[in-house]
Amino acid sequence: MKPHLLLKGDVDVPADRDRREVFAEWLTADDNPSSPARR
Amino acid sequence: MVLAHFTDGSIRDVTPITVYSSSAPNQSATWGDNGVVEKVARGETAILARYLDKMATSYITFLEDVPGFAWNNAPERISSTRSSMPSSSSCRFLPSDLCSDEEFLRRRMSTRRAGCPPSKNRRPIWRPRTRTSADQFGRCARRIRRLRLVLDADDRRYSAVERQKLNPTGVQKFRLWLYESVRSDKPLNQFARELLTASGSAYANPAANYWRASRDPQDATETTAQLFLGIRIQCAKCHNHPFERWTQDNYYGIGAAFVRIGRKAGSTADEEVVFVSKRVKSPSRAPASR
Repeated sequence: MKPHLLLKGDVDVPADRDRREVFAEWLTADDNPSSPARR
Repeated sequence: MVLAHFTDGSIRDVTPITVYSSSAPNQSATWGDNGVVEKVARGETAILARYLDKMATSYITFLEDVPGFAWNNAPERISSTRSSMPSSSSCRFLPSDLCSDEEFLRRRMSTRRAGCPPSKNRRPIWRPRTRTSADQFGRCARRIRRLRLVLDADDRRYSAVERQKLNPTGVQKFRLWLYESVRSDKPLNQFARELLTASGSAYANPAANYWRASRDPQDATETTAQLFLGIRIQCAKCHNHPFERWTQDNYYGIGAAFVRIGRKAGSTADEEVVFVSKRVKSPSRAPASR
């Protein structure tokens, strides 16, 4: 199963990449209303 | 207006059957079932529209002229104020002045003991007595230090003994890393990235202890959602909540980001190494559907 993130949908992650990095990028993105820095 | 784009190419107006929520309910804006947002006061708000498992967010700023308003160029003392300054300025909100030592300690003690800042309508939990300011500060600092030692002991007990997930060395190193992160005013985004992508020896890289405590994708999903998203996502493990925006897809979709975390023994006793594994630890999806 691919990571499925709010407002972004399914995310393709290369096999050699850490999936947690993708999640962390989504979490801390400026346009993510759920970002901890926005709350 | 909310338009739904379906896979057959059709587009329908689903405004009346969309669920709306706001980041600041009734503070800056109210909204009706027809999707109309009305201003309550000046400020910013994010309106989230949810239709089935799809969501979209609109950011709305309500401006209002405040006679005599002049921005005071308040210094940014901590990083978290940096992002709020432009919106405070455009919405005509002046930052508060620095509080006194007494007020700081009163808030600090109240947060420690009651879990929330002091309220004007409640009896103060801690009130400074008639001593000099230096005496009060030193006395209260000692109290906080004692309280912190008690909390440290509690944490160690709960984490190391009851939960059986981290050993005392891991707890100590992890807590020290947390303290240092707060003390150095590490930006929250940087803190989140360092914690969530931590790998290597849990002793050499204390942030990796997070992945020793969250040992499977579901545990990691629930802990991470509560810690960084401020939500309890457990209900979405089995079904979509009718009023919450988080769905089963979100639950298992977040879990999919944590399925390749491996753990192996380190070079010293009780040490564990966190690494990105080629094997996938699949989160078993609950049979119930939306």
